[in-house]
Parts: sequence; C-alpha cells; structure tokens
Amino acid sequence: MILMDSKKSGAVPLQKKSGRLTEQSVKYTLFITATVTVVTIFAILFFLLQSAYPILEQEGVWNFLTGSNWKPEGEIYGFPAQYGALPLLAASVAVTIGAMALSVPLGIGTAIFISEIATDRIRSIIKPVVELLAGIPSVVYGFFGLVILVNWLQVSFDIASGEGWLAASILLAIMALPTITSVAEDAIKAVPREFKEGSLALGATKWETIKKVTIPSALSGITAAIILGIGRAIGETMAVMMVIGNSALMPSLKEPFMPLKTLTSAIAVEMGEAPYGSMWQHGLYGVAVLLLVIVFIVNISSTFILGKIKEKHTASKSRKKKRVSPLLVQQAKHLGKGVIGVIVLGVLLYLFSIVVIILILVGIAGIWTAKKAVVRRIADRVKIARMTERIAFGFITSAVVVTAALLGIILYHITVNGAAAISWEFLTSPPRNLGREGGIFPAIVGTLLLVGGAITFALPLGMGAAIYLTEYTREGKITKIIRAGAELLNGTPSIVFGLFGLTFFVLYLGWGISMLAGQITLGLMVLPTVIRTTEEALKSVPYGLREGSLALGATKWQTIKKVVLPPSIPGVMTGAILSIGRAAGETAPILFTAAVFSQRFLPNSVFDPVMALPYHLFVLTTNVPGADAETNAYGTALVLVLLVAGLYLAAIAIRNRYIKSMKW
Amino acid sequence: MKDILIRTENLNLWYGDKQALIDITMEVPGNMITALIGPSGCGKSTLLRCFNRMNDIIDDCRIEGSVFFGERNIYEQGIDPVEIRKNVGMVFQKPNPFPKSVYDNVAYGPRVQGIEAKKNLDRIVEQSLHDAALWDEVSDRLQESAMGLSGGQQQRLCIARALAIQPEVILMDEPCSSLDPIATAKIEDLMGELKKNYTVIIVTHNMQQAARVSDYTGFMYLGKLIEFGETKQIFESPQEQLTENYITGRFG
Repeated sequence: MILMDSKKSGAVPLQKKSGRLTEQSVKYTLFITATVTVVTIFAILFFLLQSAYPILEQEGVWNFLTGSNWKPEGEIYGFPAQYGALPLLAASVAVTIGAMALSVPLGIGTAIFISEIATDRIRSIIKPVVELLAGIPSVVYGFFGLVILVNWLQVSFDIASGEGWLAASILLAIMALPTITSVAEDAIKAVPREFKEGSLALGATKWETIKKVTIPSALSGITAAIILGIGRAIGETMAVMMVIGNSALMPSLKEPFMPLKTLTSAIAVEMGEAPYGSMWQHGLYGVAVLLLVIVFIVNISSTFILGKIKEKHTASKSRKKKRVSPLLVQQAKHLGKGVIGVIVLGVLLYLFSIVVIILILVGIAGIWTAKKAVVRRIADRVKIARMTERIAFGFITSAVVVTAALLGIILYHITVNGAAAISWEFLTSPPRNLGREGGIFPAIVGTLLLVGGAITFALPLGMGAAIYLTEYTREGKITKIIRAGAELLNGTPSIVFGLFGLTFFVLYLGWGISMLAGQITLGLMVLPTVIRTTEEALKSVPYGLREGSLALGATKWQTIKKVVLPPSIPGVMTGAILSIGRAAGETAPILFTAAVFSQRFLPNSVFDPVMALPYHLFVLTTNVPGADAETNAYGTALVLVLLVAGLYLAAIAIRNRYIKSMKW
Repeated sequence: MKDILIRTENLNLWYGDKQALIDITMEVPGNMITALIGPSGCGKSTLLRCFNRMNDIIDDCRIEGSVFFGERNIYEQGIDPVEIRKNVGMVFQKPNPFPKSVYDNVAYGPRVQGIEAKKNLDRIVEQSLHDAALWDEVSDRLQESAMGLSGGQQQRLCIARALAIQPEVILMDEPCSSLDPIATAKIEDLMGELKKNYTVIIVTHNMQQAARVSDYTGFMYLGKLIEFGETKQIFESPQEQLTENYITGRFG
C-alpha cells in the first residue's frame, strides 16, 4: 500500500492533479448545462409575469379572469377598452372539448387496434400513419383546414363561413390524435401478458379480455393519454388561428359554427397589432400567463398519473421488463407501403366523402350480422360472444380507417396540388409580387439556417445536461428539479416560446427581429427532446462497460468520453434529427422573433431577419389573396412536408443501422 | 390403464421455422395426475398449451396433427378455441390474478360464461375457493384486491379461478416454480384432492415433485416425447437411456 502510494505520488503527481482539475471543471460545466432548462422556465415565467403585471394591477386578477368582454383594441380605436379574458378561456375549453369528443374515441380505438387486434403486418403500416400525422407541421394543418376543411363545412352545411368552432375542433382532433394514440398504446401494451392469457384461458373471447381486463388495467395510462391530448390541443396555435375566425365571442352550444378566439390565437393574432407598451400588449401577456398556468396544470397531472403507474409497476415485484422504446424503427420498411395505401384510401374516401362510406360500412356490417343472427339461430353463448366481438372490432377498425383516411386526404391534396406548383425556378428563385410569383429559395435557406442554428445551440446543452443527469448524479432532489424543468419546458406551448423570444431576445437584449433570436428560441424549444433522447442513448450503454473502464484506472470523464459516448452517438443523432424536424415545421416561435415575409435576399448576419417555409406558408395562406398565392402555398406546403418527412426518414435510417450494429 | 381422456396424434408444432414439438403421440388418462418433465426448452410447456389451444394466440405458430378430447379433435376446422378453453382450466407459472378483488377474480370465468345472478356467483365463488383450499384464508376479505395476497395464496386463487368454470381438465404450467416450500406443499396437497374430480396435467421442472404427486409421467427431450408411462415405472425402471440419464441427474 505504502509503496504504491509513494510510487504514484512521486511519479505522476502533476498529471494526477491536472486530471482532478479537469474532472471537477467538467462536472461543473455539465451541471451548468443541466440547469438551463430550469433557468429558462423561470425566465419565461418572470418575463411574462413582469409584462403582464400592469394589466393585472389595473383590472385585478379576478376581473381579468372573469370579465366577459375582450375588447383591448378600444385603446387605439377610441372606444372603452375591456380586458376580460373569459371569452378566450371559454373558447379554448370549448374548442378542446369538441376536439376530444372526436379524438378520444378515434385515438383509443386506434391504440386498441394497434396493440391488441392488428397482425404484425397491419400494425407496421398503421403505426407509421400515426407517426406521420404527428410529424405534419401545424401550419400545414392550418393550411389544409383553411383551403379544404373550411370550404367543405361551408358547402356541406350551407353556412356563411366555415371558419369557426367546429373547423378548429376537427383540426385539433386530428392533431391530438397521435398523442392520444401513442400514449394509450404504450399503456395498453404495458398490461402484463399474463393477465390476458389468464383471461383467455378462462374462455373469454379477445374482446371480453380487452374490455374486462386490458382496458381496466390500462385505465390510468389511458387517462394520462387523454390529458396529454388536451394539453396538446389547448396549446396549439397556428392551425387554430387559421381556421377559427378569431372573434372574441362567448361560445354558445347552439352555434357550433360560430367564430371564436382562443387564448393562443388571441396572442398570435393581436401581438402584431398591439402597440408596444400598450395595455393591450400587457393584456396579451396576461393571456399568455393564463395559458401557461393551464398547460402546466394539465401536464403536471398527466406526469403525476404516469409516475403513479411506473411506481405501481416497479413496486410490484412481478416484472421489471425493459421495454424497447416504441420509435418507428420496425415500421420503417413498411412506411412506403403505408403511405401509398393511405393515399389511395384517402382519395377513395374523399371522392365518396367520408360520411357516406362510413354509413355504408356500418350498414353492411349491420345487415351482415343481422343475417348471420337469423340464419344460424344462435343458441350458444360463445357464438353471441363472438358476434359481439366482431361488431366491436368492426367499430374499432372503422376508427382506424377514419384515422388513416384523414392522413390520406391531407397528403393527397398537398402532394397533387403541390407537385403542380413545384419547378426548378420555384425552388431556386426569390419570391416576387408577394409570393404570387417567383419561388421560395430564401425561405428554404432561411429554414435550414434557423434549424441549423437551433440545433447548434441545443445539442451541446442538451447532451451536457443528459450526461450530467445519467452519469454524475444519483436520482434525487437535483435530478428531480432538472427533470421537472425539462418536462415543463417540453409542455410549454410554442406560442409562449415565441412570446418569450420576443420579450427577452428581441426587446430586452435588443437583438431586434433577427435570425439569432429565432434560432435560440427554437433551440430552447427542442432542448427537452435532445435531453431525453440523449439520456435514453446513454442509458442503453451497459453499466459493465463503465466499470470495466474505471477498473483500468480511467477517470470518470475519460470513461464517458471514450467508452460511453461513442456507442451512444447514433442515438444522440437520431434525437437531434427529430428535433430539427420539429423545429423546421414550427411557426409560432419565429412569428415575432425572426421571420419576415417576402424578402429577396438572404440574411447577411445573424442579426438580420430571415424568411422561413412555415411562416411563408402562413402568410401566403392568410394574407395574400389570389389563385396564384394558393398554388404557391401548396408548393410551399409540399416542400415543407417533404423536408420534415425526409428528416424523420433519416432519423429512422440511423436508428436502424444503430440497432443492427448494437451487440449487447 | 384407466380411461383415456385426451389423446394426441402425431402432433407437430413450429414457431416460425423452428420445430418445437415433433410427432407427439400420447394418451392422458382421466382423473389422474399426469406430469410432463424434461430439461428447459424441451417443449413440455408448449405441449401443455396445445391442450387448450393457447398457442393460437402466438402469431407465427403452426400446428399439425390432432388432439382428441374423447372423440372430438379440438384442432378440427370450425372449432372455436374459446369453447375449448371453457372445459380446460389453466394455472400459469407465475401467479397471475387480475388486478381486481378476490371475488371478481373467481367470478370472472362464470361471468364471461353469462352467469349474472348474484346468488349463483356467490355460491360458485365460495365453492371454488373451498376446493382450492383458500376459503378459510380469504373469506373475510373477498372484496379486497387480489394483488395483496401472498404468492402461494395468489396461485391458489388462480386455481380457484380455474375451478370456477367447472372444467374437466386442469393444466398446470410449473405452478410452484415461484413459490416457497410451504406454499408448494399446500399446492401439492391440493392436487391430490383435485384429481378426484378433475384430470390434471402438470408441467414441472422439479423431478421430486413429479415423483411425489403424479400417477403418470412423460419425459420430453428436444421436442420429442421420449418415454411415457406410470410414474413409478418411469422413475424406477426407465426403458430409455435418455430418461435414465435425466432422472439420475446426469444432464438437465
């Protein structure tokens, strides 16, 4: 012992000391990166509250919340301004309830179908469909809603304008569907196989097993899925503002088509109009605080429920099976097939219109089962149970068909009309005549610059935080706080990020509307995703490798650098690409921070404003009249969807190679 | 030999490309306990699951050959596995009570069969719990969650649950492998009682258990049924070299 000590301290004292120093500084650096999420959450809260304070002081919190008139524009148009946020709140609730009425049955039906009914082949087609629905940028949903859905509602129901409550609810239902489906599917899959086998062995049919054992066991997970769907719907901005009509009226059940203005759409629409420093602007900050509080409550309650489930599953000694993360990996092969099938389905259903087809399907099913009932004269209970099962599966299957058809309709429209607009000139020239002519070259480059900057900012921070969380701490108070920060940041609506970017980077730091402000705002938004995916990648490296390296005398940081990080790089890259895909489609965060419409030139520095595909699509659709504008909007939408889909495919490809090369 | 209740004929089973059962032909006598023994992966659990068509729920599973219950081949076209499973109870390796109350666990099968009347259910639940030697331990907490019972109690609850559908046959897939010796002893005693009214087929890893409780024993190896006969004969004068090697502990 003594000999070794003296030998060591005598031979390499310096190296050891400097090694210690690096070790310490690495640890502190990583800790700082890990606190970014928490700091950001507090900064958002602080700046929003500070800017909202004047209105809350003037009106009082209670009056602000319960006042039934929202007329802040009076301040500049010379009539008495009123700052009651109740109509906005009520509209958000109303639109969300409408969306859930549609989305919950479809989403849970699809989840049951995927996890319990579908064969492997069908499952490998349906899962990518759901993932694709999640991948479509919200501004593209809004565009689709405005040019297709709203017109369809207008014609079908013979109303003055299709813009309003119902249109927004339908659109939100489609957008919340993937969230509900994937979380519910996870919950259903987590029900131990033994429960199902136990039930089947007692002579229950598959449907009886689902109804009496599987669903009750997965109930809390399904509840969390619905709550998360609600969170998604309440926080959604772009798609809603494009189809809701934007009038701050109190929703009335008698008028499902009435125009409304939600919390999010009020911020997005009015922030550009409200003069700087006006009460109107302060009022909008108040609305943002209200929105943030609601979303936080929703997210915290779902986290709580999901946490409870986890506890239950780990506490009961029964199983600790590690589940492979349900990314789209295995389905990648079938993606192409799925998309084609879905488009065909969409075209078919669109041509005959959804409702008619469903009615026919249900009719056929009814007649068929009735006929069976008569012909066989069922006396046996098994046959009755089997028939019930067939009917139930029929309904569930039609939920899946509707889901797939929705995606098909959207993709079909955008592909067919967009392909007509795209030419070499369209891709390589700047826009002219407010985007009616010319192309979208600066927008393509702008989007690439924005997401490139965002990931350059988010990747080092996110990786640092993830390394700190997995390698340097035990689970405890600190990790809990950091994770909570990431969780809250993840649930923060994109419009709130936009507002924070405007307040902090554009105004407070004085960067102005600039590419840099947009990049960092987007970077903060994707940070939680980077942290989570990096953590998953690090955790998949077996603990034995770390011990092996440490036992050979490597320091912690050396071990991380040389043993832990290299095999987790593909996982980290997958997360990064998914984040880029998400950032590329976002509009709300760059709405007030970075984006300009029609600009001939590319930005010269990071402090110049920049064009971006989603923003271009948004303005073309909502502010530029004319058939040419619509054609080019289709082209822009297609380019955006292709860009995002391309990024997701790249992520899948990396994942697949990664899984192949992984030997443990 | 006594009356034959179940008979398999040239039963072959594949999981994908891998053949798990090879040409199994055997006869299981009624009102007896038949044990299936053999090393891990020899196909004994797979064979057991053929008797109530539980293998049907595995996607890439393919079966050839027949399994007769009396005169009826349960793999014949047009036979609903749900119907089969009503006559065959199954107890799994790990106790798998549903996350419901003790009462609801036992009543699950009868309810699925369409029995709704409270009085009937009460009677079935009490009878089944008695038969599974669990009644005295749980009679005062029928409405409490079954997850709160001990492992041995949970397994007896699973037996009660299987008895409640009034099957002819009870399949047990290593029912004691996750239990302690005392709980195991209780289940073994129970099996002795059960064979008065039921035909029991048990898969077990534990040769002493097979020797203690069973009347007939089948030894399986690599998907084949190597030897089948009265337990006494199998353990005292096995005909096959493989069987002898296994029961004398030379492999496995």
